[in-house]
Amino acid sequence: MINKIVQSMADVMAGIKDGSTVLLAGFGSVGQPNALIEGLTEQGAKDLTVACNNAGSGHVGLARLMELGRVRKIICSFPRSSDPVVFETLYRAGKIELEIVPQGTLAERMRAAGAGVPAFFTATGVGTKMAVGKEHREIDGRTYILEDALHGDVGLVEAWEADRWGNLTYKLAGRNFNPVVAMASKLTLVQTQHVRELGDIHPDHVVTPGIFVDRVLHVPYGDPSGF
Amino acid sequence: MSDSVLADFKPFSRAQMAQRAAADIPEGWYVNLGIGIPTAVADHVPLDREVIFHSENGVLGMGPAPPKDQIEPWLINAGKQHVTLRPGGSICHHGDSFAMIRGGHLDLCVLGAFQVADNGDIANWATSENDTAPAVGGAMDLAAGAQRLWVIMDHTTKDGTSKLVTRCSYPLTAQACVKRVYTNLATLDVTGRGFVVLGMAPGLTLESLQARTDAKLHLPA
Repeated sequence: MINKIVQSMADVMAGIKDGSTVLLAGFGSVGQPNALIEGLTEQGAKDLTVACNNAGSGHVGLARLMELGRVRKIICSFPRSSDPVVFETLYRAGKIELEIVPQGTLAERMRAAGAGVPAFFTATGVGTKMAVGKEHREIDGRTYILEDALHGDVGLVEAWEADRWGNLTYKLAGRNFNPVVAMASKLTLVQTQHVRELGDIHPDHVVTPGIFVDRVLHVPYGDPSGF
Repeated sequence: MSDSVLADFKPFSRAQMAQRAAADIPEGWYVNLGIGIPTAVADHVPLDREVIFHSENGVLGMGPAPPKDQIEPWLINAGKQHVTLRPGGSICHHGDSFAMIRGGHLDLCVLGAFQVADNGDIANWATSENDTAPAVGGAMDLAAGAQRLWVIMDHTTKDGTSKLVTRCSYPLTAQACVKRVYTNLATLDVTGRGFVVLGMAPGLTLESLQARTDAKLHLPA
């Protein structure tokens, strides 16, 4: 019997290695797998590359992971937030590497990784500093730049519902990067608000099919608060 | 500056800038509004004119902001403000949301900017090459991907420097994509000839507007 639902945070985080690339879903505090970020912090892996839309806020979650010196590099579109003090301090001190990626290119690089597309051409960033050093190609009269797929060794996802096969649904804007993080990661770890019996999630309503999911932990924390 | 250039005129307010842009959006368009004055454009589109507002985080069909006692904590826009969904609204993931943007499915995007050049170049994400931690978000995707890009911004900086330029001095967001600019002094189209003035704040003359503008201004042919 397949059962991707695990019983403890230690079981979810087992085997994450130093030097991993971690794809982190979430947009603001909505649909952000905060419990898994805390779990990764406790687990201890270091020298991480973290790809995420924002670079953390305050001194919790991703910001705490960075503050503990565990993140070598951040790949994100918007390193500012309501309180980006940890990232900015590390960045100014030269203690963290930053790769800025346009938000749509970030999402598409993840989707491409999940779909077996090693790289793709896009018009986003042409003529800007994002294009420096990238291959350019003119197709049907328009110029494009080549962007690489972004694979995760580990992906952290927050779902609304999950079953033991790893089928997932999301709630409203909590969907955001979660589906593309799930498909782009070799080891996809999910925290879910609700666990459903197999068959109770209508097949038409499954957003992320279980094939993209490895481990699921039940974390019923309620509604997101603050950003 | 001569006295005639300093003749009395009344700049448009921020609400009027948003109102003027809203008046030009026809029913049926799919529209993404950037943070700041662009967000206020939605407030000036009457609900019975069906314009469908998109937000980068996968929200299509946004309605007005909710009353404080009816906030849905799982529904925010790209500015991380609580929003509502209209009947018919839908949710998608970030990949599909940006496919709407990058695939040319949006009729319009309205952004703020630091500078717009008379060839349609836009600079709106960083004010120097060495910005400590530059943040681009979805601006490059929106500027390059939407069918048309309009900008709402003040005509000059606080110290009077023109934001309508012949060449952007700040790092570019995208090349040759701005179609129209709504400022506190004028409405201008970006054409093959450069900036064409469609309208001006009451009491303003073309001479006076040109005196506040780096780029050459043209009248409609």
